Amino acid sequence: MIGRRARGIFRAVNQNGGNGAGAKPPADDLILSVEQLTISFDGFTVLNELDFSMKYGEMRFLIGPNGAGKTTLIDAITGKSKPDRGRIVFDGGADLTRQQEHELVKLGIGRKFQTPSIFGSLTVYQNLEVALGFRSRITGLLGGTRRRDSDRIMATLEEVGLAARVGDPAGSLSHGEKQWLEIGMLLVQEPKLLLMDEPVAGMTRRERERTGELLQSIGSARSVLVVEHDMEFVRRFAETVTVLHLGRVLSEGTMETVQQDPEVVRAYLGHGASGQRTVAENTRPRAVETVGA
Amino acid sequence: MVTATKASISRAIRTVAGPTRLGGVATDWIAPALVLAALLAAPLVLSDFRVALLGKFLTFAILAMSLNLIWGYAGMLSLGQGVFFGLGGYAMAMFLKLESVQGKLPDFMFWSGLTELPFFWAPFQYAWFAIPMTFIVPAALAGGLGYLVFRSRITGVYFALITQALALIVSILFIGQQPYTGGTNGITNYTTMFGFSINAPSTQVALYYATLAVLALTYLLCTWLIASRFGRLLVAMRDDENRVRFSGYNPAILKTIVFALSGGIAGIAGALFTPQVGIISPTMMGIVPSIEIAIWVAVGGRGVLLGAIVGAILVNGAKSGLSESFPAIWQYFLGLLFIGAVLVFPAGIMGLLRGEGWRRPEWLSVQQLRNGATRFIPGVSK
Amino acid sequence: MEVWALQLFNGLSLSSILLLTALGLALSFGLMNVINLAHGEFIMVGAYTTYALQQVASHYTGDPQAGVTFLIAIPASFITAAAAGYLVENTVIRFLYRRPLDTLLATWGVGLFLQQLARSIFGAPNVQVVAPAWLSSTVSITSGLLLPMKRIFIIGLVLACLGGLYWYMYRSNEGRRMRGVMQNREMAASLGVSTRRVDSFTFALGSGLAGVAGCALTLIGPIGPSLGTFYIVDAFIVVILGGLGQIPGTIMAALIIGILNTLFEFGTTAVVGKVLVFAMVILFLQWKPAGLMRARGR
Repeated sequence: MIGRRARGIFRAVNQNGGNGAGAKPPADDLILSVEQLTISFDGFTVLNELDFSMKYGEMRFLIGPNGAGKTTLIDAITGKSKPDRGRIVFDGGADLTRQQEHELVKLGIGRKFQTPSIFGSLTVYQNLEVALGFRSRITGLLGGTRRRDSDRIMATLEEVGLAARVGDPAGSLSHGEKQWLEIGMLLVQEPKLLLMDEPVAGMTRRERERTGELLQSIGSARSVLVVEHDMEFVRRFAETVTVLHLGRVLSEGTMETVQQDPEVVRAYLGHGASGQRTVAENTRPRAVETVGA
Repeated sequence: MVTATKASISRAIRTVAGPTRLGGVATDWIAPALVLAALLAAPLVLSDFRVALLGKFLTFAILAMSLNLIWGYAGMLSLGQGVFFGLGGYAMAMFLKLESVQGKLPDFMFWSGLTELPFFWAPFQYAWFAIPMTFIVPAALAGGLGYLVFRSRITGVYFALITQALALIVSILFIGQQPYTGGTNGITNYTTMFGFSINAPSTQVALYYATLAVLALTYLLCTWLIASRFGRLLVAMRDDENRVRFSGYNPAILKTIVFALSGGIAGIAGALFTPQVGIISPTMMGIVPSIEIAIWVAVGGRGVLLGAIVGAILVNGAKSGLSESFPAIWQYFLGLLFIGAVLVFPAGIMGLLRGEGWRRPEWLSVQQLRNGATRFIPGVSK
Repeated sequence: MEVWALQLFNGLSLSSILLLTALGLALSFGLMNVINLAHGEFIMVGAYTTYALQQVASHYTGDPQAGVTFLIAIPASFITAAAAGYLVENTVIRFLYRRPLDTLLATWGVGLFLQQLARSIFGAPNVQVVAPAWLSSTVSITSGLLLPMKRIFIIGLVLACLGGLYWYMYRSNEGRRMRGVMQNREMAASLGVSTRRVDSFTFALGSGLAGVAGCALTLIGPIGPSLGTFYIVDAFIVVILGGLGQIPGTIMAALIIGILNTLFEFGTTAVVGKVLVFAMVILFLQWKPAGLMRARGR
């Protein structure tokens, strides 16, 4: 607990130092503020002067039809895509659109990928060990893991429900367990903002239920942004939902408000849609994965 | 509950899955100890000629370990490892040559029309300069090229091809710069090393044991490195480089470090090769020798430290046995060995010994899927 | 002026050879993510096919310069190398599609095997193919600028191959299937395209193009069992610079490297020229890691 607080102070000091002169100070209750963000690929605008913000401690769900720019937004926040224009301000710091992925992780932005992204040859424990060492210097990595760290790894494994599999190779886990492992790898890093791209994709009903509960307990301590297509899941666990469409925010509010927004209904049905589909039914067909799930 | 957790933690720490899993006492300690004992005893029973030959193979074993470190663990196949070996060998050859000519100009420089020693040759007359350089020069080249390549996120097949091009470029560069490198013939005809006659059997035996000592030290260094958290990170990069990046590490830096270290180790192997064989030439650093190193490692067992040693000694033993009497058969055999080591026994000899049978370690496919800039993978329908 | 025109021509000539050797590589990489280190040996197979054909023809006609023989040799080289490629794809490569690095090693083994096979059949020393008389002339553009007919012929041959490839990919049914598999393997498979067959055919096509390159190389100099190794690394550099698997990028990269290499060599020496080209490619990749062209997307 003390360690966590000390680290937090250290980080805050660091960021005040890094606050650029021209940076507009954000409203202080915002952990994330995306301003006028524009990204295009080959002339096709994916994000179009998007404005988006999240408060500290908030859990937000991001939905929207295919090509709305949800994953691209996450890519931009985590440094994977570089925007053409616009700013992203995180945790009262400077604009982060020019920073590299690993630097953003050190600032406190964690990201879960859609397909589980873990180290299959390492054990479950070692996966977390690698994640935990992310602030060590290279020389520090040459040693083993300290006692205090292994306690924290075990506590995190308890939290995500993988304590029993601690010594198993991560490659032997089931799909759902891999997803939890990846979440555990993020949690052990204690990010301030957690971005999750479809965390329940490919899960069984029971696994979805457990993941939802996990999300709620995670969300009580930090800010979380979840991209999700599973509308049933969103309806159950979301407080605030943002609907993205054609690279802009179309609507924002509780699930009920959003669902009744005529703009949203139109966006989901599309122009030439003939079927009587509702928002709830419009779940995108799974992209065919080439990486063996 | 607490004790159970403790036990499971210590089990987890000890167990590394897949090819990095240390297969228990047998392959971890007994097998290396047996190999070491056999190598220690070898000069007592073998002829001088055979000892010299085995000494050469030991330098190849060090070289193979340098490749195993980056390929077997971190998943980066370097097809330019011969270059680093050669650079170390040349640095040592420069020292030996200058000691042998005793203040005069080396013969090949004279024949090429040079009148005085080039400035960059001069410091190599001192052992305190030349010997560290056998590590530093190749490590610096590997680190420099590696940083540029890894920074651009060039991985997998691209990296292999670029290092192969390096092997071509450096070897033709050395052939072309005759006055400074001895051209095609390389640097040869050294008489003494630290005042001892280099061809004397006693010197050869001393060199053999020195090589064995370096081999053992390299083995211990690699064992320690692999067991550290840095070693886990290497394996992690092999499995999923993107996750490493999104875990807050800069893979470019980690890979540059390990590639430079690997280049340096290869250089030391080269430095031990030169005095034992009596020559270093560009043929040691071209494309063909560089890719052959990969087959030593594959035959021995990728991702197992001892595998590289066993593979290097066995393949080279077979080569010197076969290629002199039946050169054609050796070429066919070598070709089939490349195919077989990949298709039939991808886990190598160590994999077979460990009872992994003929199966292919799972990481072999996972790694390359993630690392390569792959879009569609044929034959995978899921 | 004429000096520069000649350099430009030499550059184009080198580019055309680079392109012919690199096209097949780009094709099989674009479709299957396979880098074939035995590609150089398929070049060698094409060259020896030309040689063998000429030996047979001169045995029967007594005229080693029979012009028709060379024209027959072009498709013959294509077919032999394509058959060799088909065989290799079906016996080795198809098992390694998920392991690109292992494919490198296995195909290197295939290359070693083929080299030794050539040595066993034709002997280790280099052999010479006699060019037909009509190719041994020069074309004079101005009084000071004489261009060898052979080089012009090779440029023409490369253009013909490009045209043929374009026709195959964009006009034939087989090519349409190939592009389908290139763009979305799973979708193509689920629409009933036999991806296995497309892979084999494409690999054979790429190998066949290497064979044609080998046939063309017999015009330039003597050939030997390790002929392919002299060209293969340059071909890889072209493919990397072009953006692995991109045909338009490969064409552009071949032009750039061929012309730059000739200019550097003209300004310095052959060795320094090669080193400079390598350094420039590495530096270029700092700026555009994916090469000149790539299928951009999200």
